[in-house]
Amino acid sequence: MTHSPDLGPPDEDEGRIGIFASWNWLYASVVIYTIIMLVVLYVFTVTLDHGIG
Amino acid sequence: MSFIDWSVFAVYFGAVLGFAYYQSRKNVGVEGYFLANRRLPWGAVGLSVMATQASAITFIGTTGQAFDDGMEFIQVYLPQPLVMVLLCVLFVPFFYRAKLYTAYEYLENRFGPHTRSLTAFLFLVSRGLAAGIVLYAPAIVLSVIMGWDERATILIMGAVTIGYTTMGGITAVIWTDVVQMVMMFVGIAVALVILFTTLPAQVDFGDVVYIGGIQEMWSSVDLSWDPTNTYTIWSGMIGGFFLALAYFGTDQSQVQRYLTASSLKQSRLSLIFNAFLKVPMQFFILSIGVLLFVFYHFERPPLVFNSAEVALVQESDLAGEYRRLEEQQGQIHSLRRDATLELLEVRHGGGDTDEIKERIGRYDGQLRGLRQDAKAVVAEVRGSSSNDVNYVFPSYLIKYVPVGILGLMIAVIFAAAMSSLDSELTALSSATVIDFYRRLIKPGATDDHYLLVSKISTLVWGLLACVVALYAGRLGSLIEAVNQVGSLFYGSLLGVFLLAFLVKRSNGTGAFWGLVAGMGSVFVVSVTTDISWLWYNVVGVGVVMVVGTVLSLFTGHSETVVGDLP
Repeated sequence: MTHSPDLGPPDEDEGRIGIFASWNWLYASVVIYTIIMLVVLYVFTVTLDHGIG
Repeated sequence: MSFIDWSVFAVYFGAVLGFAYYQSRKNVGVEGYFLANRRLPWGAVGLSVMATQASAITFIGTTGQAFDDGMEFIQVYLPQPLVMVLLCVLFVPFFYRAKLYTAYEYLENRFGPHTRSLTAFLFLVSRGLAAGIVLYAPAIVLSVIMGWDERATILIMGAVTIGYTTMGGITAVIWTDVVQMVMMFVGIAVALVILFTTLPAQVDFGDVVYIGGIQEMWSSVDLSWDPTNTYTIWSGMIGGFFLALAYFGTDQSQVQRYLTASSLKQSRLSLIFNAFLKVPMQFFILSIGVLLFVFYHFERPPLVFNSAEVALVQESDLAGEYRRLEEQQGQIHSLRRDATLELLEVRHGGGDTDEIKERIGRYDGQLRGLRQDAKAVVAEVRGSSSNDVNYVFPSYLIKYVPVGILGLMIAVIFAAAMSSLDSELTALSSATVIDFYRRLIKPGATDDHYLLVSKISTLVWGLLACVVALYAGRLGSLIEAVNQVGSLFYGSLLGVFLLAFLVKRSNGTGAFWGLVAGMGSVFVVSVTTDISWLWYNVVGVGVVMVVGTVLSLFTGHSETVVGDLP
C-alpha cells in the first residue's frame, strides 16, 4: 500500500481552463471572489443597516 | 389549489419522470447505475451537487429564518468557495484517479477494512434516518398549509422519487436534479418578483432596502468573537469551513456526484461551478425572508405561522389569552404600518426621519415580544416549544400568490425535497452494495447480480425513508439523537480523510482510534460546553489528526493494511 494512489497522466493539470491560464489562476480567482463577497457583505452591513437601537 | 395550479404541478411531475426515463436508458451495469459510467458533463454534475445540498427545508426554512433574524445565516455559507478549491486540489484527484465507487473505499486502500466498515456504517445509519426527515419535514409543512393529508404527501413524494431512482440510478438522479435545480432558480426569481408586486404601489426597491435596514435585517457580517454564537464571521468561516469540507469531501451523497464526471477536469469544474453560484443563491433565498419581513409591515401577519398550532391553542383553555395577544398585535401592527408609510413620505421629501424610525423600532420590538408571548402560549398547550420558521414562506404563498404561481412554488418545494432524497438513496445503495454486500456478503458474483441487488437496495432504502417519515412525528427524541450522532462523527470522519491525505506515516491503528477519540471528544464538548455546533467539526478534525498522528508514530507505519488494527 502506498500513500498516494496512481496519480495518472498529468495532462489534465496543464493547459488553459476556459479563460484562465491554468488551474492555479482559476483557484486564485475563487479566493479573490470569496474576499470580494466578504467585503461586499460587510459594506452591506455597515451601509444598509441604519438601526435605531 | 386551482385547476391551473394542479396542471402546473402535473406538468412538473411528468417532465421529471419522462426525463429520468430517457436519460437512464444510457446506463450500463453497476458502474452505470452508481457512476453513470463516468461520462457526465460538469454542468449537470455541478447542478446536482447544488440540488443535493438544497433540500426543501433550505428553501422554506432559511426564508423563515431570515424573516426573524435577517441575513446573518449567510456567514455559514461564505467559506464554501474556499472549500471547493481545497476539494479540487486535495480530495478529488485522490478519489477520481483511484476509480472508486464510494469515499469509504479509499479508506480501506489506505487504512484497512475496519476503518472503511466503521465509516460506511456510520454513514448508513445517520443518512438512512436523515432520508426520512428529508421527506417528513416538507410534508408536514405542506399538510398544514395546504390542508393535504400528511401521509398521502409523504407517499406521493416518496413513491415518485423511489420510482425514478430505483429504475434509473445515478443518471436519472443527476438529470432530474438538473431539472429540479432549474425549477428552484426559477422559483427563487419568481418569489422575489411576486413579493415586490404584492407590496403597496408607492413602495419602491430603495424603500424595501431602507425598511429592512431599520431592524438591521441586512446585517450579514458579525465580527464579534463569540464561539457560542453560530452566526458570527469566525464561526462561519472556521466552523462552517470544516462542516462544508466534511459534507462535500466525505459524505457519499456528495462524493458520488463528482465521481460521475467524464474526467478529472469535469469533476473539478462541477465544484468550481458551485464555488461561484452557491453564496449568491443563498443570498437571494435569504433575501426572500427579508422581503417577507418588509411585506408584513403593510399586511398583517399571523402571530404564529403554523396554523395547526394555532388551531390547537384556539381549542384550549388559553384561547382567550391568545385572542388578547392577537388583538394587541392588530393594534400595534396598524400603528407600525401607518408609521412606515409616514416614514417613506418624509424620506422622499428629504425630511428628518429619526423620530419616526425610533417609533417604528419601538413597534417592532413590541410585535416581536407579542410573537414570543404567542409562541410561549403554544408551547404551554403543546407541551413542547413552538418553532414556526418553516411555515413563514409557505403561509405567504397560499394567501398572496396568484393562480398558477402557487402550483409552481409548491412544485419547487417538492423538487427541492426530491432532489435531496434521490441523492441520499443512490448514496445509501452504493455504500450498502459496494462497501458491504460485494465485499463481505457475496464477492465475485456477476455484474447483473450486483445490478439487481443495487436496485433492490435503493428500493429498500426508499421504503425505509417513507416508513421513518410516516412515523417521524412519533419518533421525536430518537430523531434528535440521530441528528446528534451525525454531528458527532462528521468532523471526525473528515479528520480520518485528512490524516490519510496529509500524514504520510499514518496507519490503520492511528486512524481507527483517532476516529473513536474524535467522536468521544466532540461528545464531551457538546455536553459540557455552550460552544456552537459549528465548532464541533473543528474539534473532531483536530483530535483525530493529533491522536491519529501520535498513535501512528508509536505503532509504526505499515506497508500492508492486513492485520493493521488492534
